[in-house]
Amino acid sequence: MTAAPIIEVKGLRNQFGKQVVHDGLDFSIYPGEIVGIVGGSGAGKSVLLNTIIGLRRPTSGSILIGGKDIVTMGNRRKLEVQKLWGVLFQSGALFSSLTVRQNVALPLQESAHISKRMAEELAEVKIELVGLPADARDKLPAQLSGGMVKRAGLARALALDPKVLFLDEPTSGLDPISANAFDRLILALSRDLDLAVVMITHDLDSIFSICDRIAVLVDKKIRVGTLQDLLKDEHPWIREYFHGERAQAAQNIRRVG
Amino acid sequence: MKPILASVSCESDKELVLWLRHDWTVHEVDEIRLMLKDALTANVRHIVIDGSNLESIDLSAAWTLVAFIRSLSALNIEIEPRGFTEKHHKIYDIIKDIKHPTSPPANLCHAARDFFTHIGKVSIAIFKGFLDLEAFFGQLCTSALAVLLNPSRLRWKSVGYHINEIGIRAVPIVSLMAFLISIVLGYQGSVQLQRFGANVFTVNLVAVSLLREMGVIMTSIIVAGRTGSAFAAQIGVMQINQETNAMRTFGLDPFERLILPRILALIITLPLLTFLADIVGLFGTLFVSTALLKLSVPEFMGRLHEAVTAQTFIVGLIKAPVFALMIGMVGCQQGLEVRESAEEVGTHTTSAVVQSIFLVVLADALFSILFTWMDI
Repeated sequence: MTAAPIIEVKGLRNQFGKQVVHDGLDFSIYPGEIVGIVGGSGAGKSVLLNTIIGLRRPTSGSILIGGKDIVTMGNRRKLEVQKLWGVLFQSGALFSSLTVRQNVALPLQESAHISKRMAEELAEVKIELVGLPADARDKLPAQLSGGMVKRAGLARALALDPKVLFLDEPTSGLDPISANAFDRLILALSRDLDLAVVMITHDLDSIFSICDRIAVLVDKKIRVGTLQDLLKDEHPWIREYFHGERAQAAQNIRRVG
Repeated sequence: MKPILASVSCESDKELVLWLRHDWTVHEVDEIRLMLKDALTANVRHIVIDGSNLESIDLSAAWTLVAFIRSLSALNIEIEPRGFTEKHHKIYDIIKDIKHPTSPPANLCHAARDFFTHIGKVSIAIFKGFLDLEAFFGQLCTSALAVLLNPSRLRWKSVGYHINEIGIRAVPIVSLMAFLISIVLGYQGSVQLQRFGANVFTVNLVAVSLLREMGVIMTSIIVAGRTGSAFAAQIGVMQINQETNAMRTFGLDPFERLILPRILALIITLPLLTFLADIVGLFGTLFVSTALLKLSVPEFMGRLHEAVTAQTFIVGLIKAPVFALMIGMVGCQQGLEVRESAEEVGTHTTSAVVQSIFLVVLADALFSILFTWMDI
């Protein structure tokens, strides 16, 4: 990667009481790449995500966005910087009292201060972009299926045309066909819009097929590398992860296909 | 802000050149749309759009441009793009297949029609609500009958738990309310009756109204607020959590397990709370009589004895189980109405309280008519 990193994490440490979750994490995210974050349950994937997007203050360390540290930033400045990214939360986190269209239009109206008509038009463009059927636009989140909630959440995450997209288990709870379509969509968006994507995932298919680099959270540290690097890694957990039965199956199918 | 669009027209306004400059982002889409519209003059037949000075463009801004271009081709104006880079083409490729959103049907103001539609809808909803409550009552009766035939089926432990929740924990608030209400009634009553030199009758006024009406009504309203809402919220959350469905898969009847114990506990507890309110209220009356009317305790007892019979007391108390049934039924039924979203829990909890208070007051009015008719 020759371009300057869009997010730089330096010496990040997270601690709950005496329990250390992350101890000195260093890594960077570059424009246009897809990075998958993997790790066992309780390895602190969600904590890491929340820390990077500024919802949680790390115990120590810094997170540099365009050279500025958001950890020490005031709230007002931080809100400005946070417009740089869109986040798809694990359960969608759609506002339950608003329709899908209103959900997507809300950041456009309230954060970018665009007129209501324009915001709704752009919301429809984003909704169509993520492949939601037209009749879903005026539905409430409770009336949507799991896959549609994820797509609606993605449309909302894309509302302000972010440079970075954070996805928390985007394909969990989707059937393999929807999950695959979702992966393709993320890949296409990333390639065409030069969008950096950081996704927490347990879906081995996503990891093998669309991730450019993979960040493994293990032993309170992070190891970032391409799939090829990690396949050669000797750490027992990483070996188990990438050479286990499920991983083999996912790779074999990929090879046959 | 740096100008992001420059336009030059030439050849007697037939041709227009638009230079896109700097960064086009989602934050400027309103301005972009306006500027593009303003640049357009009536005679234009040919427009050159030059992107060579465009540094970056995001999806939203690109959409605004594409929407503009589409509106032009409908007017038979030729478009000539120029100087766009590979990156710009990629973005164009993403949105070129997106159809122009059919703008939502214009919100024409049919105020009168909407008003009557609304009235109709609300009426139907209220009517349906009563039908639902009736159906609920039927279901309640069947499961009550089943339990009556086999009392060991009822979860008595759950009944006890709810008696504690509904009853014992409500003792402080119910006592405080009864005490204060009787003092307020006594004070206001004595001020009015003093004008006629009849302020000793304050005891009659307060004791009778307390025992016949105020005690049971105020207690029911507190319980509707405290317990009716809690029932609706608890059962509503269980519905969302699919707990009631899970119970059914084990062959357990949610009616028997969740609703019957609650309503039974309420029917047992509300008369007891009413009794408590009556007694504490009488103490309040005693307090106001000795402090304000300078009656001695034996004098107060004498007046009380004269004003109040056992019948007065029983007439008040006998309404309590009926009110309890209504509060419990409405609370549980509203809880079961919750289907999908957490938001429904809020609305149904609110309507549980409103409906149960309404039903309590309505039933009280019917009781009044009944008692007058029975000459009690």
